[in-house]
Amino acid sequence: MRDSKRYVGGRFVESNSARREFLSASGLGIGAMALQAMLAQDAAAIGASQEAKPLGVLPAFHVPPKVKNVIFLFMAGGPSQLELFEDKPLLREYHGKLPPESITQGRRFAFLPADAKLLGTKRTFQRYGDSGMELSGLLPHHQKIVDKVCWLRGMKTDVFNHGPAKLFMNCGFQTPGRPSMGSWVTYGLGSESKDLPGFVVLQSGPRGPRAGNTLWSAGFLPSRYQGVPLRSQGSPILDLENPAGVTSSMQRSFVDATNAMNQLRYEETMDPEIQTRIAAYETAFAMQSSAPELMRLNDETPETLELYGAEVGKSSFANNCLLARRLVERGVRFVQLYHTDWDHHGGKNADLDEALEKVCAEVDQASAALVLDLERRGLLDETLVIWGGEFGRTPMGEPRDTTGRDHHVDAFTMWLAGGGISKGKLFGKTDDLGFSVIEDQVHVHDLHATVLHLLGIDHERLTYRFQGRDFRLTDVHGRVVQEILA
Amino acid sequence: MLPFRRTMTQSVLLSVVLTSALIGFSTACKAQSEPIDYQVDVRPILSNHCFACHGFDEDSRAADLRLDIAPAVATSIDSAGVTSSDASESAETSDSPSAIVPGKPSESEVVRRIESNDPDLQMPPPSSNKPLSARDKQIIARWIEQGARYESHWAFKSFASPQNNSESSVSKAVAEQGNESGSLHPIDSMVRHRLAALGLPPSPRADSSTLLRRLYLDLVGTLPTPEAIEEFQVDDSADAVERVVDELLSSPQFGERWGRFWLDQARYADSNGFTIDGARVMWPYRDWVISALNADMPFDQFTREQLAGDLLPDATKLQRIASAFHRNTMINEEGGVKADQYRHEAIIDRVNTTGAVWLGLTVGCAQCHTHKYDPISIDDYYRLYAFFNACADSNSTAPTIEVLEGEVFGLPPSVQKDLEELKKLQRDEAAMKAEVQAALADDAVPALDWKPIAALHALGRDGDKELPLERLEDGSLRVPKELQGNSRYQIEYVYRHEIDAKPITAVRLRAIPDASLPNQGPGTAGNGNFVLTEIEMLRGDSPLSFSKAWASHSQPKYPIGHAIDSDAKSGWAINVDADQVKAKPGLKMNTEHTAVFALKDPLAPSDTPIEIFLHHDLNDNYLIGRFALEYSTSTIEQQREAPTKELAQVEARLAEIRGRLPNGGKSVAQMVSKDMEKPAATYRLERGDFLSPDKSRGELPPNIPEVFAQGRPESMQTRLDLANWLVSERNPLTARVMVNRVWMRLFGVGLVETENDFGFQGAAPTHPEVLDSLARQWVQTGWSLKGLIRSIVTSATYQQSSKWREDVERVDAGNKFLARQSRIRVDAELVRDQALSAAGVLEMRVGGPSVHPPQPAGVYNFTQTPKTWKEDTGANRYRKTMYTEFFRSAPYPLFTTFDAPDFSNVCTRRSRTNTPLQALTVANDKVFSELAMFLVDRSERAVLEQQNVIGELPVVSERIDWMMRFALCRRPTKVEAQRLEDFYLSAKETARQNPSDVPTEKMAWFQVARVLLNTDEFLNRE
Repeated sequence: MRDSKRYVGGRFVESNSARREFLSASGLGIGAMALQAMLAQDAAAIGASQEAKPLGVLPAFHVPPKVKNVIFLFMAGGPSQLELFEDKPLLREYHGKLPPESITQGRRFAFLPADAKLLGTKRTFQRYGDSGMELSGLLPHHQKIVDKVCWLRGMKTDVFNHGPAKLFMNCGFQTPGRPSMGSWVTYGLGSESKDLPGFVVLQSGPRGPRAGNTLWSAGFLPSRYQGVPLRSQGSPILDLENPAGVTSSMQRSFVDATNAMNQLRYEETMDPEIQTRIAAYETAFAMQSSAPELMRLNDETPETLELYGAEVGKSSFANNCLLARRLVERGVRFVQLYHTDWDHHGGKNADLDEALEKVCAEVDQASAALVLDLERRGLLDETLVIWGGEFGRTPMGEPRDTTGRDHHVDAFTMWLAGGGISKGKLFGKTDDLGFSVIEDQVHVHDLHATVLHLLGIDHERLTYRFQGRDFRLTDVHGRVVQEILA
Repeated sequence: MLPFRRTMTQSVLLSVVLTSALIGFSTACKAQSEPIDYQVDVRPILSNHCFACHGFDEDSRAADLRLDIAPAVATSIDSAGVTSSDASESAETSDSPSAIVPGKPSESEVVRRIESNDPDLQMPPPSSNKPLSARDKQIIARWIEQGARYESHWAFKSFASPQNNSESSVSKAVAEQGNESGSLHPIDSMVRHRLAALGLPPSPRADSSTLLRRLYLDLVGTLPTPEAIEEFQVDDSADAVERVVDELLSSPQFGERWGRFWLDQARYADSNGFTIDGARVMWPYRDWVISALNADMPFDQFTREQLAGDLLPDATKLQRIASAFHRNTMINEEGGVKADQYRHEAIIDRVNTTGAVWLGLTVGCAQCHTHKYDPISIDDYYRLYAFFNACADSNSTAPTIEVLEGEVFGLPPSVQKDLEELKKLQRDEAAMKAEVQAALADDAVPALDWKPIAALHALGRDGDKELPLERLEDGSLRVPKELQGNSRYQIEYVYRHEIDAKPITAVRLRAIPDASLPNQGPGTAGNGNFVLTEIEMLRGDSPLSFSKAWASHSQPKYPIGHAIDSDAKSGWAINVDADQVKAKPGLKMNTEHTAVFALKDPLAPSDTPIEIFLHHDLNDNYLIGRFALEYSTSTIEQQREAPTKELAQVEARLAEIRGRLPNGGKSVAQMVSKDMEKPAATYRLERGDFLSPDKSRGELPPNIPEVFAQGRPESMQTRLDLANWLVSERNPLTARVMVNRVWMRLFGVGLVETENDFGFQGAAPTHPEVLDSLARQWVQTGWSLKGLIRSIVTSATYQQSSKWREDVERVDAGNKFLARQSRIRVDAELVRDQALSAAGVLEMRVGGPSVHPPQPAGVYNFTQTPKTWKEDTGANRYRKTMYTEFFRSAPYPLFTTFDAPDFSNVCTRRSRTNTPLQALTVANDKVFSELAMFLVDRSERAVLEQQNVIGELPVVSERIDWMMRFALCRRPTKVEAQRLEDFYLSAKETARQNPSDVPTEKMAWFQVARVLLNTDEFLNRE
């Protein structure tokens, strides 16, 4: 079978001459089985060539890839590193005092008044594992993975409002319109999954993340690279269900008839795009059964469900973590989970007491389970798991009804796990009050460069020409953080 | 000559390498003598590989070497592009190796460097990731050999006279071809001249049905009816196409189709963007665009009104509405945002959008640093910024203008009449209300004599529960605890004939505090308050009206008048606020308060009982807890008459008029542009950071980039100055850029492939003579968009077949030279509009607020705040898709799936993809299923209507025939007809085996209809 990509009329088209000939010969009577067999063959051929060559627009890997897939557990709202990962005794000592002006000068905060006082945490910390990572009691399950992940305690971002900061963490730019990391990656590398989208987004928590679709937008890249939201209730993908009264076999014959008409038109006009459309209808049809199959968690053993804390038929972060594993098992390139809401300013349902405990309980077990489950299935080596939010929280408390902290961009914590990543490494150090990174800072651009590097991509060479300029995920910044690579 | 910093020795060593390279070069190039075109061949290479370090940007310039302009003028001319020069005149002697020695590639350091394999010497350096290809190197060497002639950038050159080189040479060549060219459309002459050079014949004209469908889709965005197609097919008059084109251009749908094209560039959306993404009102601006295009407003005026409509002398309301172009920027409504930051973001977007739309330049690059490729410095950027830094809006919707629905299109006389009357009545209403209010005002309670009302019955009623009110020793009444909610009290009393009994003139209500009530107040609310919404008095069945009411005290916004205004949503209450206490020290809520109600007509004694009702309809459990009622027969002095009856009449008339006016005659507030009286000072923002203005360099006044400085007005201050310059003859870009974009819409790709980059990095035009002659003609004939479109679509080049040709593919892959038309996947909007059109249900109403066709469930599962999407059921369900409400954070899914952007930024060209999600949408979405059913019905009706006329065809094939004509605008071929008929029969059989709510026959036709709406042909303009 000859498979090639050609550049026609300003875009890449896949032309598959064997399929074309086959369809042409068979006319209206294209059998579903024959075509599916053909698709399976395609998939097999691609599977075999995966090591050698990316499936997207990149002609070759820039560096040897360490991982194939990415799962980004996005903690929307900005988890407080000072309640979870960073013990600052000095903050407790100076609790209720004004921070030194020399430190706060020039910093902008979203909500804090000028006289905001330092806030010592009431949480107690302990060191765990060989790494000696500090964790508060809020994340007990994380104790099991302290030595399996790399802790980035010197994260830094540029923007302090949720929407812009989420865009920045996803797209490397703070206003909408740029492609997100998942789009860049599927653009460059394609996806092994033939009947599921290459970039999938899942959501849990009381509401969607701030900024919505723009977070998984393909920006100026062709829209096929945009993230596709999978819904946990109802139809997982929009328009996945047949129209009322149309059975699966009727849908099959509808697709056959449509493609037969398309084939006739192809013979008339010879436009290669028609072949792409024929393939698209086949993939769509396959997706109609593969997506619901993906969502059926009752295939999983009770032990696995328990590991995650997942429950069949429920909509939760735990279920989504399990779905994320199922997605990468099926070759989906980039999976992103959003969980709301970590925005603990203080006030009703937003305090660092019960509200924080609640969200930690929702997230802790499944996050750890995902790492453990991927590991025992041998998938962790080819998957990168990223955990973190759009920013951290301030060393000062916010003067609201209950305890809370404002958005902090200058120092926060994330963790990475998976192929090519140092296990149990503590990277980055902040000052004694937690204002700034004093050692081993990882800027968002650096994180992006590192993620691309692990996937086999040089972040400076994955570019897209738009409005006269070559754009890239890391803009004109970014450094691969070699120190955290295994 | 500028010296290189490497040593001579290195250079000499290199020449050995170079010589061998050159030998290879000359044998490889067959047409060595063929002239190298600087514009087409050389500049793109230099721009892409060299200018980043050896270009316009001083700060990043390496080795003091500029390659973007001729060496001799490099130091004296600081604006590349407008200066043309011949480098050979400027050869100088120098000890250092010269970068470029015209005519002598082997002596040119540039050639040595690009041919070098030494990583330390090689140019571009390996670290740049931008290696030159062998062909690139050859072109540079040949260009130097041929004299290294620089030319100013084609796009920046004036096209005012037809003496433009490329154009005149082609015209001459075309003329030489003989008589034939005389009768040819100018576009065709020029296109064919280039095709002839490639040895490619043009394609024949598309068949009539394809051509008509193409014209309809391109000009108005709908499908022609079978009748229109038939008529066109048999019309063999010479001007058949012209007549159709004129008809379509004058259709109101034209403004919608091309309005959408413009709205992409305006980044129009119905929401504010960012995280909250609340709805906004911008549709009057959309109306304006449609209306302006339908009126064929000259593009220069179109530009001025949108960029600076508010600044035009005596700006009309429509011009102010038009000035919303730059209010389509986003607003961040998130908590904790700093307005200054998002004001800055909006200005940045305005500068970049203006650059992209009118200049086709990526000025945005210069936001952080001087442009690497194009002659736009960071100071140029902030001078452009200064035009917009005067804006009065700051991450806010204000300033706005009030607009009525339909106002932009001109309101019909009947509506205007209604509106005038509405205005007058509203004034009357206000005046009367004021009078009523004055009559009811809380002036001093008149001193009267009071006697208790001894109730016969006193009941309280809470829903179904009815209980007697407790009678206390002092004759007052108290509500039993069991009565709560919105209980109503009913007191019955008979005012009998007795000696000296005079008519009752007034009733007094005393609200009495009681220790058993909450907070020891007179009311049952937690704080002791109550809200009396109405006091009602009847004798027998006749209601008695009050002319006036007074109270010892009324809570702000709860005056006593509210108890006699027949409005259950307003009432009298007794809380106190600080101002009242200040005015009346000692005033408090929980004490006795009295209200006096004057009867309009004094009430004579009678045996007929009087009933008094006290209503508490507004708040739950805000009852009067304890009260007493009294009456007076004293004369009340000088009552002011409240015009209540007249007011009621006015209100009835108002309701009637509002009922028939769109949006009840209410206007909406649309954002408009406005400048501050004192514009903010603009400084260079280092690295684009708005918090670090570089004041040391001084203020940057508004101005256009230096490169365009020639002949610009002495001073430029406002957006109007900018707009005027953009459409002046001094700026050749606007016309070229727009003509190219119009061309792109009609051919799929522009004459300049990089339609958004007319700078040095952009592609050169494939047909510069076509571009320039169209641009010139466009400007000279008054910037008529309709005229421009007409001149393109009447060419044979436009009308030719889009069928793929192997010979074209071999010689001209990508069909740049237009030996055929292109098949173009229709825009997202047209995917649905075509289906509406095929189904015969498209609602043609033009303009107005956005609408809500069916949308699959779950769209807002992923947004921060769910949006309201009230699915339209009436005609609005079938409006053109461009009217569908657009939320930036979660667009109507069809848009995203079919490549409409989210309009966060300007969109000058949409991408066109072909994906499985698109297949799912058209195959399964409710919208398309519904329309497929309508197509089934329409074909059935057509068969029934026509049965007598075309009797010979069997009904099934006849119906297939109709469906094809409705959906694909042509009749099926024999093979297609046979296959669809087979499919119909098998679908019927399957439907029989899988019964559903849809009858078997209908299901089978539904399947056929779905197939047609899902064909690639349907989704493409051919």
